[in-house]
Amino acid sequence: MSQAASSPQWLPGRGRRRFAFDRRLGLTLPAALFVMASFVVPILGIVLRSLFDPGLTLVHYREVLGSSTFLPVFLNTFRIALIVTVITAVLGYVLAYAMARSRGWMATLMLGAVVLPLWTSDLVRTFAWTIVLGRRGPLNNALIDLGLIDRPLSLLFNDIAVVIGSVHILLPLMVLPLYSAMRAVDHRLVLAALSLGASPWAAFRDVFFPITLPGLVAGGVLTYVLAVGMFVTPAALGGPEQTMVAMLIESQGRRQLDWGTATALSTLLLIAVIVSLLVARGVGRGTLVGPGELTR
Amino acid sequence: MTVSQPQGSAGRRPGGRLPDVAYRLGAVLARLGAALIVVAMVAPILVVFPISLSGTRYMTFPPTSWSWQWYTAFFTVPEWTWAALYSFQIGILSTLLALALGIPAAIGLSQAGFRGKGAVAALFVAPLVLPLIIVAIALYFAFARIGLTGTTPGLVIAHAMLSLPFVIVVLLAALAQFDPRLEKAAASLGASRFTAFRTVTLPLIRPGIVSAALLGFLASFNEFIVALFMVRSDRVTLPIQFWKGLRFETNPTIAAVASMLIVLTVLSLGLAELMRMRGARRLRRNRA
Repeated sequence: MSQAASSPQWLPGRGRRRFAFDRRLGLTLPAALFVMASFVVPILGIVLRSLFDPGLTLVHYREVLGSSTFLPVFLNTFRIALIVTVITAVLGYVLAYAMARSRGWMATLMLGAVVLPLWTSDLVRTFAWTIVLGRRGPLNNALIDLGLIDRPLSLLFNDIAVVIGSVHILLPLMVLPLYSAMRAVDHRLVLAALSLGASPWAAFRDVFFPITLPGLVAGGVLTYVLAVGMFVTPAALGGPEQTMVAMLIESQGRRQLDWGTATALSTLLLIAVIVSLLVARGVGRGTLVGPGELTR
Repeated sequence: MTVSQPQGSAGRRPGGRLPDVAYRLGAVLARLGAALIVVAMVAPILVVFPISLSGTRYMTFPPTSWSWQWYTAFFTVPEWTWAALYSFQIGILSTLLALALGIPAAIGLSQAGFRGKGAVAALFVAPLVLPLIIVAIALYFAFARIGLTGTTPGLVIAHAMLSLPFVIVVLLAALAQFDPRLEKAAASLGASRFTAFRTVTLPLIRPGIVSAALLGFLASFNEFIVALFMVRSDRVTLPIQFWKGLRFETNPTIAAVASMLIVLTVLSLGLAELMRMRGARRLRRNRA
């Protein structure tokens, strides 16, 4: 019996300490290097760029923080993102709960209603809302037909349109982590609480809800972070009042070619996002995007 | 206080108290709410179909007359067809690159915990949790220095990086059901590591790879903001052309494009799900 055939070196368990570590990490190395080069390094690049002009300086930050246009946009962005996150959390919890408690085709239908919009381009979804909320859209037509209004209401280009559009786009990202958190709940815990005399409401409040809280936090942070960075939806559904940071970065960088301001704005946005992620990590201690949550 | 005994059907609910009635009412309302949310998620998307068949250039819902003219317009206006072809090209190339990097990475990550695994996994999903506008600015700036901004390779690299997390997540789900003892068996029969992978692992996870490729392709095909920064103005992707239509010359052509994009999404998702189920079946059958 030849040595090579009977005991291949690469099998786990043989020479594990010396070889296995290198091989498993080694397989991920090309992709890791690729992401480092095409993501991490460029991000660090804009942080650096925001600090130079051409020498080390804080002039771009002074300009951003001192200007009367940038600060209101930042505050507006966080305000809209917060409203969107709260509404998404409430709706998402209800939907995920119903999904987790259904079986068969009902469960499939609801999962489809979440996954299909998730993978539909956000441009398409935003465009759909411009029709639905438009002056000649189904909502206005229905209200006129019902005799509730005489002339079409202008439902677009305001806070409400931006919030509706954003909630629609972000809801799937809230529902999926919540759904997997709820599916993982051992329902015998709830039954145990019930059998010990807890009312169904108390069993929900004291047992079910705390177990699913990490899922809610994970979904909430993802929603908040992506809401803060929204571009298409506020640009198409909002008016000048609804200008958000991403729109400002786009116009400063791509159109005005003011890279100092654009990179300083991006860095501030980056800091805000990282702080939110760290806060959530402390609260939730769950993974943000676990395997399967994005596609199922 | 007396502890109430479980009673009623299967002892699931101690019945008859007021909070219980309120809870059941709540449960009914929650279900009703969920039904309304499902409708609100899907119905607005479906609105684009009738609009795309409108006989006039006004986007009235429901349309007052019908025609195919906006679909004809899409296929006869070169800006639209070129943009669609370019998006297909970028989508295919970036997916191939993401698969080439993602398959080995997923195989590495699918194995038991090793040092650095958490950090590598976090690195792969990081692009998904940052606002894309930051990624767009960063790539524009970094790629401009090495002459990649405004080029096809630049956009392919950017989209491969953005598709990679989806590809890896789908492959990890497929590999979770793979029995590593099968590779061990091949090895004990004398197969080299690569032969064992090629003849045992690869055929079993192939449906997972197809599924990953479809989702990676969709992620690239629909990506807008990074592409906006990375393309030349005379060679744009479909989402950018769509954006121009949405902002500057609104007519039902974009409704026709939106309808076709939705159909493409449904087909890709359906195929991806079919592949995932087939792969899961295949792997179950082949558990050692």
